Amino acid sequence: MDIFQIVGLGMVVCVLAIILRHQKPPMATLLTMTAGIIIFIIMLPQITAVFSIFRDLSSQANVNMVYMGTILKIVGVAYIADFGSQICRDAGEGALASKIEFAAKIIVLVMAVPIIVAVLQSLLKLVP
Amino acid sequence: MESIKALVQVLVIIIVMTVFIEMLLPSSIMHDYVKLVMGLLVIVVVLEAGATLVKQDFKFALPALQQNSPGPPLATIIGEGQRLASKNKEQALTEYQQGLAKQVLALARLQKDLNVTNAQVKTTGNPEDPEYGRLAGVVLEVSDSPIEGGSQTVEKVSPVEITVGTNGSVKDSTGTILVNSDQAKKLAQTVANFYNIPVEQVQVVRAGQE
Repeated sequence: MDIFQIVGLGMVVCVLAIILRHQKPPMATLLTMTAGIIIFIIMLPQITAVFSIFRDLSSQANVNMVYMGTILKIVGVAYIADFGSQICRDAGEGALASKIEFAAKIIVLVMAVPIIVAVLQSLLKLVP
Repeated sequence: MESIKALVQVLVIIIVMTVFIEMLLPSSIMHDYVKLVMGLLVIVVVLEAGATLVKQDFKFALPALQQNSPGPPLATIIGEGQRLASKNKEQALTEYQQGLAKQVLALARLQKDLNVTNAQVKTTGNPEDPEYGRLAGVVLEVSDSPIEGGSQTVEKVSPVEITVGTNGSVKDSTGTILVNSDQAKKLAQTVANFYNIPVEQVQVVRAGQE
């Protein structure tokens, strides 16, 4: 099962990172970064399967695919930003992690603009 | 009843889907932002689903982010449009004239008395004219050489000695030698009747003289 591989990889990398952090801290950071990328790649096919199920559900519920695509993109942006900011925090660059989160927030809000406008128009149309 | 059933089904799917997507969200500071957008999406979808009950259309065209780059001025666009329209008009008129000339030539060749080698049509050329493109004249060129299966050819008549009203050829005001035989008159009459124009607008000339 994938979970055993992932947990095993995590444990090994964790021990190695603890050892390396005292002797070569940059190598420890690179190691954790690599492990994170590997775990992300392992989970990518399963994320794709989940997203395709969401697309089917949304087409069943007559949800506009533009909205659904926007939501999935926003989830992806959140994950990637979280991934990047965690790596920066692990490397001791808290300021850089904050900047990444700031950029992700702006991107999410920009992507949400069509949905916000649609909500406003719906509400305005409801007013007699 | 059916519409309410469909609405409830849609709402159930939307709520279940939203809960699952929330489970997918990363547990960071981004969680609140994504949750806000998903809440907005649920509002939009519920309104759209409920709109079928009240027979209203809440499906809006999604607004695109507008670019601030200035486009060309309106006068330039209108000028380009007019230029394109006039160019298309000229092209259409040329194609119309070519097609009409072929028709006239085919019609003229139905008779076997004269060897008609070419046909030219004249149309009113002013685009502002309401009768723009109307057939204004036809010039048929006939050759002296006999045609296959024809009974006779055009008589060779010295142009300077011919007067109006006689058979043979005459010179018009432009110096063109007009064929004025009975066959030419008959041909001109046929073409004039077919295109509903005065017979004076149909000229039969010797080939190489126009």
